[in-house]
Amino acid sequence: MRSKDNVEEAIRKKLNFTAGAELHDRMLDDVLKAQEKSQKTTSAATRPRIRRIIMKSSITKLAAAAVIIVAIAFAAHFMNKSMPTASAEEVLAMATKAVSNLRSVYMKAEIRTLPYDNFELIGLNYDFVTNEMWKQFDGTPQGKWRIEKPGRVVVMDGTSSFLLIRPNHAAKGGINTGFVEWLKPLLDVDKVLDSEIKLAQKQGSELVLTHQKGLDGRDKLLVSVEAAAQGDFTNDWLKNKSISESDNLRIYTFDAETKLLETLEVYVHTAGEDVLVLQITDIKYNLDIDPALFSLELPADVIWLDQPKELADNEKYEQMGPKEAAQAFFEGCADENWDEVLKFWPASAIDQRLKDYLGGIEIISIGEPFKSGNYSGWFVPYEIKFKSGTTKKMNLAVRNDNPAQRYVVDGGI
Amino acid sequence: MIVLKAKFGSRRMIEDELLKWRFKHGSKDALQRIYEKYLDHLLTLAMALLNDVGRAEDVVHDVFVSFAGSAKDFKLGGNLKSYLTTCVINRARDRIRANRRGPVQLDAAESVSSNLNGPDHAIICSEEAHRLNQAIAQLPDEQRQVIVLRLKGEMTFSQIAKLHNVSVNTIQGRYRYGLNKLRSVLNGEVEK
Repeated sequence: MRSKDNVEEAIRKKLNFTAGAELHDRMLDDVLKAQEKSQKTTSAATRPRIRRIIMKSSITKLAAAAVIIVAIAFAAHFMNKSMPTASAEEVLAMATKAVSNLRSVYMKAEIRTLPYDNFELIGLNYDFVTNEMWKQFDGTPQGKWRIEKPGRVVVMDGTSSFLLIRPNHAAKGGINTGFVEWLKPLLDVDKVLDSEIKLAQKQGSELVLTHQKGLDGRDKLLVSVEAAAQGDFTNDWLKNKSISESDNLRIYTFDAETKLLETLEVYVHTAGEDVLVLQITDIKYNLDIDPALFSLELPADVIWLDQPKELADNEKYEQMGPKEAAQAFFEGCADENWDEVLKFWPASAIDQRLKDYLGGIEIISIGEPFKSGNYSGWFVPYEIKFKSGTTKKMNLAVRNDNPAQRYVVDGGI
Repeated sequence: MIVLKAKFGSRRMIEDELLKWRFKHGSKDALQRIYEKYLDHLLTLAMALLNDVGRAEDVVHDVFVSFAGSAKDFKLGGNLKSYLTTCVINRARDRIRANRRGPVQLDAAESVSSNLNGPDHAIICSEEAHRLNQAIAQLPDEQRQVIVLRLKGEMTFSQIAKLHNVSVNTIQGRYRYGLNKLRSVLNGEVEK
């Protein structure tokens, strides 16, 4: 005979339904599609930041206090090396040990960027572009790796790195040549946490360790890094055009037991708005990677991008400032004097598409150069009129940190 | 791990706050976590209210799809679980009102639950859960709702009274009558 209490207890504890696998997956698919559709059709509205949300209610203040305790303990660890806490270094040591036997890693990330532009570029209003990354650990510090998005691919074959900007521009670099900027350290999964902690120390960013239960029932270690934009933003042209040049929140999720990186999300803070700009959507360890991925087949009509060589009359160009160089570059385009243009263009030839695009332009104005963010070169404001009659206002990026020490165009076309 | 242990006590709260924040800012991973975390709870609630696999599935589906599309306007200072629970309750009650076929009868209940643990396994439950749900399905609509909202929706009598626009005493009465009837049904003493 069931008592009233037994009935209540039975309903509370034993009346449980579980979604079957088919229903679970079908519904999840619809739910994620609805989110995707919503993201495509709506622009981000003004939203409060995480700290404000967490501090909004008294109950969450208590919870947030626990996080702050963790943060303080963590910070204290940095400030007092003799402090006998088991925190960052133990986590790091375990993480390093966990990945010491890794053979390979594969990641897929969605990034708000442009398919053909550099890997570091982000734009808060850009659509997400899929970036894929592979790394084969072979005992050498550099290993072999490949990073690819629709318009660009970089491959490190173990001794050299190659960049291909589709369809036919390529560059060759060494072991440490950039090309992929911020994404490369992600592939060094054994150093991600270490790098973030060092960056936190160097840049004074806020790093918080928290735990949460994952979908798979396993404990996850969340590392949240609140970082300020790096660089000079007296002119804010480069603000929020890369992750390092934005105020951002990076949330790494590691498996608490294996210490392997599982996800990463990067949010950029702007005035009253936080925008997700990067998220790792897939990560796999120890896959067998096709060795062919670590070599690049270049097109027959490849145009090599390279550092400018010294010219016979290099001194003339070396003496030009950024504004003069921009002026000379556009005048060359206006006159369709491509030999002259090539002196400001770091490539083996001028591509026909560039000739078609800039040939015969009219220069409306060239402004005063300025610096922004971390960029070592200058930006020169310009306005030009194309043969078609349309006009364009933009900032030409020029730099002279090359062996020939003359300004060449680096972007902004 | 002193530092990490310190965090465990408040894990659930922080987890939902982080999930809400990340979801609001477009995180697919956060939405999936929310889905995984509350799907079964919401399905259980919908099944207990509707005793119909198809309709329960529709309600939970609609709630999650609507939730997924609401990130832009999503403003929730309170509890995520309570919010989703309320969404399911409201939609299920809309369905009940729209259909007004009255409480599902035993024979009908048998037929509508054919997708339980069946070949497609849309929704899976234990024998005990199935029996409990069949018993709840025999209650008059207003008693069934109070029992389910109280025991599975984790609502207070006062909240349920507000939802039904009746007094707390009325709700407590329905709850008491409902439990008595349930006990009888489960003990095999079918009331006349």
